[in-house]
Formats: sequence, C-alpha cells, structure tokens
Amino acid sequence: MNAFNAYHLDGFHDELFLAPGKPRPAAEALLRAAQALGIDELKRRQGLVEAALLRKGITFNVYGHADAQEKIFPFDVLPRVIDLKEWERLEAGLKQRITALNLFLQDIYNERAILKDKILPADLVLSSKGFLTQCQGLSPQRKLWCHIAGTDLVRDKNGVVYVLEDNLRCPSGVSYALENRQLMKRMFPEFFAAASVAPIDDYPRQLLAALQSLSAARRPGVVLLTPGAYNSAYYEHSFLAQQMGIELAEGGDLYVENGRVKLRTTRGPQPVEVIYRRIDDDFLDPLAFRPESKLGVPGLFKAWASGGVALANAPGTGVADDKAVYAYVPQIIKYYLSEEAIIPNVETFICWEAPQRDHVLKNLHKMVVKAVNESGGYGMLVGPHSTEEERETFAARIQAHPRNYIAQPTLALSRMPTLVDGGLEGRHVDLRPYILSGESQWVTPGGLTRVALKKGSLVVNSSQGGGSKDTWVVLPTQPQKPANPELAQLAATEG
Amino acid sequence: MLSRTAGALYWMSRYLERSESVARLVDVNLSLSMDLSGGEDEAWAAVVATTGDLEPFLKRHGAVRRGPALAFLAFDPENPNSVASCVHLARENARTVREHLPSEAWEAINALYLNLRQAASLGDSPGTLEAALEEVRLAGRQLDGLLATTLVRDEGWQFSQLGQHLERADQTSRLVDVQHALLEGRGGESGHELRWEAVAKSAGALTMYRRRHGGTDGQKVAEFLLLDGAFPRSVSFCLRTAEEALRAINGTPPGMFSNAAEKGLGRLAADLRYTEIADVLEEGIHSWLDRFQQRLNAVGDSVLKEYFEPPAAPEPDQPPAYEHANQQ
Repeated sequence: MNAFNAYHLDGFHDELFLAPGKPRPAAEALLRAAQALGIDELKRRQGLVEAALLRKGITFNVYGHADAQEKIFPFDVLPRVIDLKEWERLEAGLKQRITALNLFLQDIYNERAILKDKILPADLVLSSKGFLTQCQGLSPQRKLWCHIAGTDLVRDKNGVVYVLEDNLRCPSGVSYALENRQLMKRMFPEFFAAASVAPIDDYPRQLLAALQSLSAARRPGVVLLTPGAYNSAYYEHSFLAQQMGIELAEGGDLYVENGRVKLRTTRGPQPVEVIYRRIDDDFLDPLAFRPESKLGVPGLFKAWASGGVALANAPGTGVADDKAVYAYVPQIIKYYLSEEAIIPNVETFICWEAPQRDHVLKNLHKMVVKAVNESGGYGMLVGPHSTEEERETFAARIQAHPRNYIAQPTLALSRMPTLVDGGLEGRHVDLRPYILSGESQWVTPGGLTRVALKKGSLVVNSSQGGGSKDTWVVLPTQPQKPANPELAQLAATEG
Repeated sequence: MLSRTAGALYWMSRYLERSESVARLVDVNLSLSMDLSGGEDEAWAAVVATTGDLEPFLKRHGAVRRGPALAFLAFDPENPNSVASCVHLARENARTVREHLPSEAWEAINALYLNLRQAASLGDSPGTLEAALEEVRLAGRQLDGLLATTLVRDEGWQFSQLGQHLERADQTSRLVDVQHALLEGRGGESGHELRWEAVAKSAGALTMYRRRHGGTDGQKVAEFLLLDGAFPRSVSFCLRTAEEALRAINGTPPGMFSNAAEKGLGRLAADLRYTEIADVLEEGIHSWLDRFQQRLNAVGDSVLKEYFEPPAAPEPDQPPAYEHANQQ
C-alpha cells in the first residue's frame, strides 16, 4: 500500500485531505503529482532542497547554542494548499484587523476615546510593557503605526480559522516564504504544472512601496536597520535589503543631525527619510530608551517624533499585540469599524482578572499559558504536555505577576501530511500571512506555513523545532484569453 | 556606499586572494616535493615562511615537517592565514554585504566555505586536500568572473579590486623573496630549475613565463613575477591596477593624488614601472624586496586610515547581548 493511501487523519482536521484517501478539491492536482513522484523521489528532492538552503546560507541562529549557529530552517516539500474562496475571506479579515489596530494605536496615544468609552480597561492598556509613554500625543505619517504585520492563524478540529496572535513589532519569516517558493519552483516543476498558484514574489516591491509612501519626498532614502550579523534574523534583513535594493545599515552607520537622519557613506552623509527597523523599541535610541544600547541611533526617537524620519513599524506598536489586549481585538474592530470581526479570536483568559485567573489555575492541565510580551515560543506552557512540576512553576508565576499571563484552551491544531522516516505522517501547522499598510494595504497570498516537526507537538516556532512549508493559494484553472493569438496557435500545435 | 560596506568588500577580496595564494603555494609544493630527494622539509619551511607564519609555527611544532605544515597551511583554524581561515574571513565579510553582491557570488563563497569545512573533517584521506585546493583556485576565477560581469563599476567594485590587487602584489613579492633566499647559491644543483619553475607556477605564471623567456633562469623568473609590465599577475601590474582602482574611488586624475593613500600607492607603482631587474640585483633581491614590503604595508595602512576608520563612529559592535531583538 502506498504512503498516500496509508496516511491517517487521526481525528484531526487535515489541510490536504477530507478523509483518508480523499483529497480536498484544491489539493487534488497537487496530491496526484506528488503521488506520481512517489515517496522516495520526494525524499531525494527534499535532500536537494536542504542542500540548496545551506548553500544559499538561508539559516538562522538559535539563541543559547554556542556551536549550533546557523542552522537551516527545516523545510517540508509538501505544500499547504488554501482554496481561493477561503483565502479571500481571510485576506479581508486580516485587512480589517490591521486597519482597526492602527486606529486603536492612533487613538490610545492621542484621544483615548476607546478607554473613555470603557470598551477595554484603561489600566490594562496603560500597564502594558509595549505602551510607550514617550509616544503620547504623537501622530506618525498617515496616522499609521504598524506598516508590517505578521498575524498568526490557526485552524482547530472543526475547521474554523482563528487569529492566534498579532505580531505588530518586528515580525520575521517572510524571507523563508519567498525562498521556499523559489526552491519549490526549481525542484518540483511537476507540482506547478498541475495547479495554478498565486505568485508571492511581489512582496519586496510592495514592501518598498509601502515604506516609500511614508515620506513626502519624491525619491525618499530608505534603509533597513539591522542589529547586525549576529542577530538570529540577519539572513532575512540582508535578503530584504537586497531584494528592495536599499542599504542595510547598522546603528553606527546612521546619525542624527538637526532632527534629520543621515547615513555615513564613502561620499559623505546621505539623507534618510524612511527606516525599516528590525531592532526592538528598547534598543532603538539610547537617549530615549535603554541607555546602554549600542545597536540604535542616538536621537532617533526625537527625530521620528518631530517628523524628521519615518520608522516602520513606529515605536509603541507593542501595546496592540500584548496578548492581554489581544483578547479585546473583536471589540476593538467593532468600536472603530462598526463591523464584526471576520476572523474570530481564540477564547482567551486574562490572568489579571481574578475570576478568569481562578479558572486558569484550576484548569492548567487543559490550557496553553503564554507570557503577554513574549514571542518565538518562549515563556509558554502547553498544559496537556506539561509535568506536574512545570504546572506548579507556572501557577506560582501567574500568581506573582498576573498581568504577564494569559491562557487559552489547547486547540487541536489542524495537520498536514509531512515527510518523515517511515513515509507520511500528520504534523500540526499554523499560518502567518504578512500584511503591509502604506498608501494602500496588501497581503501576501498565503504566507509562511510553520509546521511542528516533532510528533504530536503543537509548537511551530523555529526556535522550538519547527519547520516550514510552501503555502499555496490555488486559483481556479480557467481558460485564459491568449495575449497573442498567433503564438497561442503555435503553442497549441507544438504539443 | 557605507564605509563599513566598502571595508567589508575590500577585506572580502583580500582574504579570497590570500586563500588562493596559499592554496597555490601548498599545491605546487605538494607536487614539487615529490620530485625532490631530500630537502623536502626545507621546502615546506619556505612555504610557511612565505605566509609569514614561521615563528608561530615553530613555537607550536618545533621543527617544520611535511604533515604538520600541510595541516597548518590548509585547514588549521588557529592559523589566521590558513586557506580555511582566509575563506572563513572572506565569507564573514561577504555575509555582512550580501545585499551588495549578486546572489551567485555569495553562494559561491558560502559553498566554498562549507566544502572546505567538510574536507577538513575528512582528515587525511587521499585526494581530499588536492581537490579542496583546486576548488579554492577555481572559486577564485569563478568569483572574478561573477564580479567582473555583474558589479556596477562603483566604489564597491573599486574597493574589491583594490583589495585583491594589493593582496596579490603582497603575496607574489613574498613568494619571490622567500624562494629566492632558499635557492640562492644553489645554482647548478639538481632540481634548481624545477624549483624556479615551481615558483612561477605558484604565482600562476609558468605558461606565460615560458612563452616570453623560454628556459628557466632564476633571475628571469624573478623579473617576470616582479616587474613584467604585461603579465597581469606581476607585482608591477597589480600595483598599477590597484592604483587605478584607488584613484577611481575619489575620481583623482592620473598622475595626481588627493590623500596619503593615493600618494603612497602612486609613488610605489611608478617606482616599479621604472625599475629594471639590474637595479634590483644591484641592491640585492632580498634587501630590495624588504624595502618594497615595508612601503606596501604603509600603503595598506594608509588605505585603512583614509577610508575605513570613520572619524567619530561609535566603538565597533561586540556580538551584542541576545535579547535586543525579541524576534516575533
């Protein structure tokens, strides 16, 4: 029996199969092509993909592993497939969400109408670590705070897609999605011949356009600010700078003079109007935030606050992706847009609120507990997979710092067939689309699918043993009107 | 272009060139030492001396023997001038300016680094070292081609040219100096011609040398490698190329200079252009080369000072504390 027929769903929602041996319609052509290649051939090509990733240096550094620097991000060759109809709904939901969150940020740093109207508790918002008092009264270009967002989506057992978290500070991973697609096209031409897939290569151009739209200058100077070659996402920084054709600057390459930012070049100082910064708020400017930071640019915050330079994302967006504030996003959407949230939230218990905290503490073994400001899969407890001791540690932490924790029921995340030693097995996945906001909004068709490669694991973060997959938004195949009838005629007779 | 970027391109090219020089030296000596009966270790000592690392080598290993010398020159991570170390440093520099390079160039350097690492882990298996050294030489040509056909002729290109040609001039002059010392007073001994041919081969000059001069003669080889105006790997030719690149950065017209680096390099290149082998011999090859080396080093120092040390930049970044960018 072949590996595709032997593949079991084990009661989970599967992204490619409706039932054992029965593909979802959008995945049918792909699965037929994959099956024709066979497991051994898929594995051989997976080896080639991995070798190419290493050669290209598409790697990341794992913190706390001295000699394990530069690992490749594990990659699985079976793509995730989303049908166009579902994607259109998700895309609308993501745009709606980011629009509302930008309005929220503008509001809480200015009028605070939403707090006055008591839609969410003022002390909860103002006590967020991501809330920067320095930003009060400020209005960035276009009144946009978050220009690049990476929103994590998950699907549960019943097939419903939820927003798991909003990443509004420095979301990473888009370069992997772009490189994955490039490699897939090279290694699996059969797959792309079988299905019509929405291209994603437009991202760097769209990103540059969004960044440029933050300045009134005709040809604004745009740079990407990186913490440097030792940062875990350095590969992505250099990749995006290269794709956009802009300078990759470190803090020491920039300085502020008369409220304007300048780049030190071999031909003297050059003006910089927009900075895509991949450094956390805290490290941006030693004069405004952490004085010991050597990564940032002294005076940068003041230059931004006075309109001398645009920062993407703006400082202070962290308050809106605080996991306790997350719990209120559906109300935030309703308040600013008078619409219901298109993509629902996962039910969330805020440990700060006593009754909810009691519920969490009583049900720790069933819940996922997360620190409100952490990301990357750090600082979390997956209840059903935890030990008694871990639960006690977390209970103590929650009681000591209730504002720092939220909890959610453990979701039975959807799965995808994934290549393993024995053949194909189901592994849990999530999805991170990237949403750009500038003059207009743009969403990557698909995004980065992360997969928890450890059997049964629900944690997809690369730092915790996760890998990735190419993500396809599949377009319905329809006969296209030929651009050049004569050529079309030739093509038709050729075959 | 950022000063930091210019510096990284300069060093990337210098280290690539150095890795190739050392690889050539080792490769040629491997083959030569099989043709020599006796004096093999002495030949290896000369190679280690050429890279300027005889002292640290002796401190660690006592005397020079073939095995340890090979390991030291090829893969030793503690020897900053080993082939592997040079490739590693070239790659680290390339990594910080990846957005300035065609992606094939970065991939070629990265692949070379990974392959050398693998070769080093294979240890002493026959053929591994030779294959690795050949790969280093070929990668050098591949990168020359990639950069020459894709880089726009801006400062980045000029700094890369400058680094490559200063390094090549440096390596070739060392090669002649050390081998000359070794071969002096051995005229007529068996193997003498073979060795001079090996010197020419190390500099990638043997075929061209033969076409120009025919038979092997130590003086003629030295002249060809140091002063030939038409051979692109000669010291004189390299200095001319380096000088053109340096002047192009600031747009200084030929024969003029706008800073100490341009002045030093212009003067040195002109001196070589008007030097004949008789002048060198009159002073003595070693003494002449010694003086040349000092002047070349001074040029290198003034390039660093003039272009890469930003006047009031903050201190260079240490590998920073890891919590600075809580990646989402």
